[in-house]
Amino acid sequence: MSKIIIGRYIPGNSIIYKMDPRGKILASFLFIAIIFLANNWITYSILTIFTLLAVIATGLKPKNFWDGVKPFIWIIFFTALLQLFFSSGGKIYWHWGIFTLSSYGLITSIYLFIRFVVIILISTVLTVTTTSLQIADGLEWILTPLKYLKVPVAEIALVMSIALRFVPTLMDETVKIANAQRARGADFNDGSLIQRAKAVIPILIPLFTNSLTVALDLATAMESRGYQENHVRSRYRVLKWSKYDWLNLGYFLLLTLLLMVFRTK
Amino acid sequence: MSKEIISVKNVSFTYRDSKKKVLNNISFTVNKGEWVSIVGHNGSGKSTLTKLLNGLLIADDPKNSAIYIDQLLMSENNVWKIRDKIGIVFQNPDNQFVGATVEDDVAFGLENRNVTRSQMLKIVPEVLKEVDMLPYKKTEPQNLSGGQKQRVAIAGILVVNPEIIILDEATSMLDPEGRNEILSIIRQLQKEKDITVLSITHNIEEINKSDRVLVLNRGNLLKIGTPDEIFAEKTLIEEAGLELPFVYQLKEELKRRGLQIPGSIKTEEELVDYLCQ
Amino acid sequence: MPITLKNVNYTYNSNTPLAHIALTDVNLTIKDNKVTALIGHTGSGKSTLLQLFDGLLKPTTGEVRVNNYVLTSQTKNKGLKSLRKEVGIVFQSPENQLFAETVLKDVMFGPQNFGYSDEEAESAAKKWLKKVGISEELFNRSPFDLSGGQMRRVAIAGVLAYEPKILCLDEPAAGLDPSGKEEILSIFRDYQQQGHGVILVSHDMNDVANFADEVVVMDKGKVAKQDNIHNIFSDPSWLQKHHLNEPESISFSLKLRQRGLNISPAINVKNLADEIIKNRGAINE
Repeated sequence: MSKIIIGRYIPGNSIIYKMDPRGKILASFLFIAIIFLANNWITYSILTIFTLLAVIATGLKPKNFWDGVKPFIWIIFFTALLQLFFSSGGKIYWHWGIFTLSSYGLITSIYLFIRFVVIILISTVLTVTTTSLQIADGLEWILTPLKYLKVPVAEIALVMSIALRFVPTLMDETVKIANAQRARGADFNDGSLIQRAKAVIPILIPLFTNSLTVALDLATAMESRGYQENHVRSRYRVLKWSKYDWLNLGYFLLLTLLLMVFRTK
Repeated sequence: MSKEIISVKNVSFTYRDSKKKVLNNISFTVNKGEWVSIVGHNGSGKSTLTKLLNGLLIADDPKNSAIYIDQLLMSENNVWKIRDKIGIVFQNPDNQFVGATVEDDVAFGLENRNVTRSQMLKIVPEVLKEVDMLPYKKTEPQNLSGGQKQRVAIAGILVVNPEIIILDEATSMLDPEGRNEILSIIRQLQKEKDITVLSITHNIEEINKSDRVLVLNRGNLLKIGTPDEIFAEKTLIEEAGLELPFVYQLKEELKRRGLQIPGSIKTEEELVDYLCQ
Repeated sequence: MPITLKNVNYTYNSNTPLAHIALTDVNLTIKDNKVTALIGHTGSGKSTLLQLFDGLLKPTTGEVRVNNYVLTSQTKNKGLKSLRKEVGIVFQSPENQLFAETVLKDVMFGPQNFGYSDEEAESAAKKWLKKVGISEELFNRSPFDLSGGQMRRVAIAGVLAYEPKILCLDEPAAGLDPSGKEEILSIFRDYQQQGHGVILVSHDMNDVANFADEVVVMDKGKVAKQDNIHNIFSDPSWLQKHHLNEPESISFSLKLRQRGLNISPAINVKNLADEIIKNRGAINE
C-alpha cells in the first residue's frame, strides 16, 4: 500500500513547488486531453521530451518517479503486449494462430506504452510536488462555478481539508488498536479468507466508534470556536498566482501547439 | 468590589433521552479575574456545566433559570456574542485541532468571524508568540506533542480576546512537563489580561492553587469556597472523590502519630517553617 | 519470568527516509515477581520497550529474552502467540479498544484466542470482571453503554482474564479521578502479590514511589539508570537532569534537611511522617 507513490508528497523546493496548485491541476488535465493529439513519432518524441523536462524540473531523484511507475508496470506491459500481438496492418513479420506480429502493432504498442508512462509521470509530478491540502484548495477553486448550482463548495472544501488532516491521526489509531488486539492474541495473517476478514472486526469497530467520538468532539470544538453553518467565512490560506504559473501554462500550451503542428493530419 | 462575570441561577439540565438530571438546581457566581476549579467524580456534571455556559446545551426550564455571562443573558440572540467571550480548551488535544497546520488552526476562529485576511496575518503570529509556538507556524498536527497541540488550542481561542477561559480537563492527557507549561501560560494570561479561568480538573496541586473550588457530586453543587475551606471538610472530600493536597496529607499523617499541626498552616513553606522551629 | 535485553537497538521504519531511532544499545534485566516502573520523558522509548517484551516489535539488532523465548530481528510471528499469553499489555486508554457486543464477550476475546474453551473463557472473564469491580448486571450490556471509568476496567479485565505471568501497564491510571485511580492501582498490587511480575509505565512519580519496587529510567532511548526505588529517588538533581520530578515527599524531606533537620529522604507521606516523628523524638530526648 505504502509503495504507491502517486498521492505521496515529497518535500522539496524546486520551481515546480513554487507553482500554484490550480495551475498544476489545470495543466495536468490539459496534458491528458492533448495526449491524444500525438499520432506519429515526432509528436510522441515531443511529448516524451516535454514530460522528461517536467520530471527533471522537480529536482527529485529518478527513483521517486520509478516508484510511481513500478506498481503499474505489469498492466502497462500487458496492454502493450495485447496491442502488439492482436493488431495487424503494415508489414507482417510473424503469424501464428490468432497472434500476429506486424509493423503496425509494433508501432502502436510503443505509442501506447509511451502514452501510459507519460500520464503516470505527469500525475506523479503533480502529486509529489503538491500536498493533498493544496490539491484540495486547487480543486475548490476549480469547482467554484458549482456554487451557482447551489453546491456548498466552501463546506465541501472544509470537510475535505479536515478529512485530510485526520488521515495520519486515524492511521496511528489503527496501528494502536491492531497492536492491542494482537497483544490479546488476535491473528490477522493466519487462517482462511473468511477467518481473516472476521479477524479485522476487532479493529474496525473500535476505529469506527473512536472516529465517531472524534467527530462529535470536533463538532463541539468548532461550534464553540464560532463556526456557523452557511455563514460567510473569510480565508486565511489563499492561493497565489505568480509568474511561475504563467510559465507552467505557457509550457503546456506550447506543447499543445507543437503537437498540433507536427501531428499527421 | 470586583465585577461579576459569570452568574448561574437555578440551572438544571436533563439529557433528552434520560430522566435523570445531570445538573440539579445549580447557582453560583464568579468574579472577573478569578481562577475557579470545578471538581467532582467523572460523570458528576462538570462538562455539562461548561457546555451550558457557552450555549452548546440549553438549560431545563428557561423561565425559572438564568445564565449571565458578562451581564449578557444566555439566549438565542446572545449566544454568539457570549461565545466571543468564552474560549474552551478541551481534553483531547487531537480532537480540537481543526486546521491542517498550526497557523491554519489558529486562524479558524477568525475565519468564522469573517475577519479580513490582512488582520488575520497580524493577529495569528501575535497569539502564537504568546503561547511560544511561533517557530511551529507551518507545522502539521501529527508532528506536535500533546502539550504543543494544547498550546495551539489556547492560541486559537486567544484570537478573539476572550474574557473567560474554560479548561475542560485540558491537561489530563499531558505529561507533567506539558501540564506545567499549559498551566503557567494560563496563569500568565490570567494575570496580564485579567482573564477569568474555570478549570475542570483532578490535579490536586492545581486545585490547591486556585482562588475558589466548586465541588459537584451527582449533579448537585456541594460547596463553593476557597481551597482551605474545601480541604478542611473531610466528608466533602470523600464524597467528591478528591484526594488531599500533599501538605494536608502530611498533616493528617502527623496527627495520626500524635503531632497536631495548627489549622493556620496551609502551604509547604509554612509547614517547613513550623517543623523547623 | 525475568526479561533480559541484550544490546537491543530499535529503529522505526528502518531503511526508509522516515527512519527514527527509538532505542540504542539497551541492556536490561527486569526481575521476576516485582513491580518495575519504567519512567522517562515522553519519547524516551518506554512504549517501544513494552512492545518488545511481547514481540509486537522485534529488535532491529540485539536480543530480547523472556523466559525460554528469544526474540531477534529474525524471529517469525508464528510462534509468538504463546509468548503473548505470558506477557500481557494494557495499553494507554485501553477503553478505546473495546469492540464486542457485550462486556463479557469482550473480556472473553483474549482467553479464547489463547486456546481456552468457551466455558473456561467465560468463567475466567466473570472472575476478573468481578475483581475489577464490574457488577454482574453489566456483563451482558454493550461496553459502549458504560462510563469511561467502567470501560477502562473492562479493558483491563480483558488482559487479566488470561492471567499473564507478566503484566505490562502503560499509564493505566491516566485521566481517572483520584478514587478510581487508587482502586485500579490496588488491583495491580494484588495481582503482583499473587506471584506475577508487573511492569508500569507512568509519569506520576507519586504513583511510582507508592507502587514500584524497582525503577528503570529511560532517557533518549537509552537506559539512564536502573535501581531500587529508594536509590532512584535519593538524588533529585540527577532526576531533574533527566526531566523527571521527584515525589513530593522526597522534595519535602530535602527542604527539611536544608533547614538542618536530620531526616533521610522519604519516598511517601507515611515514611515522611515517621521520619519527622522519629526526628522530633530524638531532639526531645
